Amino acid sequence: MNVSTPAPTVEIKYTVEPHPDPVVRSLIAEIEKLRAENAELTARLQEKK
Amino acid sequence: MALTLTTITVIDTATRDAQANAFAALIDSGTTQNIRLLNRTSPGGTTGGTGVLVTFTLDGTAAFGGGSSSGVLTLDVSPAISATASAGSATAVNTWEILDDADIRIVGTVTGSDTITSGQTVNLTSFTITWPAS
Repeated sequence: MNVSTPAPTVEIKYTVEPHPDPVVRSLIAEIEKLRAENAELTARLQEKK
Repeated sequence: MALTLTTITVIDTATRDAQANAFAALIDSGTTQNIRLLNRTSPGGTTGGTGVLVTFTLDGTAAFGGGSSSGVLTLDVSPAISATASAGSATAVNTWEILDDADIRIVGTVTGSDTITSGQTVNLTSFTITWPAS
């Protein structure tokens, strides 16, 4: 007889504070914007294929 | 007589607490105890990607305070647990792990849109592990 034990579940919560350097903050925002655009363009490309 | 893979239907509370407290004791037995947020090539994996983005240091003797209640371990976050990110450039968090220095480790996935950049302060506000009743 084989028995498998159910795995535990985990909930983790955390918060991320804004970067202390305003220049870095603006670069982070730009990176995230470009990633969002990239994801949208990739999705559109997949639709065309 | 056939060998059968069976499904567990009941794990009573005392058993769940025993499982949970055994894990808590293992974590507490190490010299150092950490929870990490990571970026891995495959979410929940143990290799590749950017790796460790931020490392939270846990209480060295009783990370889960009073131990398990109804199979639930709740991390003691008083005083608050914060850390400064050591890596990342708007890098997505897709993996967490809890571990000590004695190869005790559980790894899982993170869902969400948060990103982390080196130098940001990250606050661990809640962490619970629940051992199921069935």
